[in-house]
Amino acid sequence: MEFKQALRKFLLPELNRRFMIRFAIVLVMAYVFFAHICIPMRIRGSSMEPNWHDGGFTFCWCPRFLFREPRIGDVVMIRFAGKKIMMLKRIVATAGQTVEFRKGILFVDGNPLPEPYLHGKCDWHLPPRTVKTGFYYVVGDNRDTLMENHHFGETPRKRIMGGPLW
Amino acid sequence: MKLKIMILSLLLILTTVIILVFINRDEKSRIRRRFAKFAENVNRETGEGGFQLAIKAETIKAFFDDECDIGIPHSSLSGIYSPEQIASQSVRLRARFEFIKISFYDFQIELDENKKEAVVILTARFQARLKENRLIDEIRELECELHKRGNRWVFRKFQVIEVLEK
Repeated sequence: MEFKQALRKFLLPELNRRFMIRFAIVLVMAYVFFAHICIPMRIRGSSMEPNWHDGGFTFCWCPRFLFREPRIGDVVMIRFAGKKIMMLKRIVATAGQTVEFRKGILFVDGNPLPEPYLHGKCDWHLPPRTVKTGFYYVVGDNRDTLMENHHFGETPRKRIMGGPLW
Repeated sequence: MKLKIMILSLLLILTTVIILVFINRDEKSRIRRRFAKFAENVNRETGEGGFQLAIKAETIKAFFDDECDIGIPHSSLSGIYSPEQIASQSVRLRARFEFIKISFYDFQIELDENKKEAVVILTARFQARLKENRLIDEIRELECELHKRGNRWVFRKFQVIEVLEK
């Protein structure tokens, strides 16, 4: 009987001042959390296949790079437009490093970069270029497409918003 | 108690309305409305006649300063244009499309001290269907510069921000 009453009180709370204050606090905290800390994201596009699928769902965990800088191999969310549209890419080189593709193999500072996350082969060819200070070089995991159709390249640190939660 | 809550809620709604009306009168809101009006004139409905297109092209002229710098990375369309050149380019480009819808959001507006110049960073979504039935749905971040001429804001610069540079 007591349980029933407690459940009833929980599901149909009395609309008093205390409840309103609690409700307002929960709303504000939920807004701050889901709008600025852990932003829900729907994945569109196949740039990170087969590790992140088109139509999938994840969260952008913004504190990911709060206490450390992004490293090679990290998957990051890059602000593309506004606050809600981001690109999911993997960091392959940091500032000062030289990046190039030779017959589909990624070379960083002249050495081939081990990429165990790749599943397909590609024939991309890109002459060497040095990553600018304050920038990161990012590429998607799906390299089955033509190089011209794949969005990749260097991006400023300030555009890296965080990383996917999973 | 209920009456008290109702009165408080009404006061809250009233305050919100007053604040919104006040905000709508400022320059930032004028700029937002200017973008909305511009989008209205760029949009093309399916089956829109030549006469309407000509009127819209003529109206578009009024949105631009004597010289407008248009910057689209890796595009031959980049350059400095006069309002007349923009109008004629728009007629030529619009003729290729069956339907065009452009929308602007996520505005970040910065005004100078005299409120005569503004820099706006925003998200633009371009949805269109080509005559050959191919669909386009692109989102880009833009940086625009506006200048106040008389009582109207006119565009001086449109720059598509390149997030990734190969």
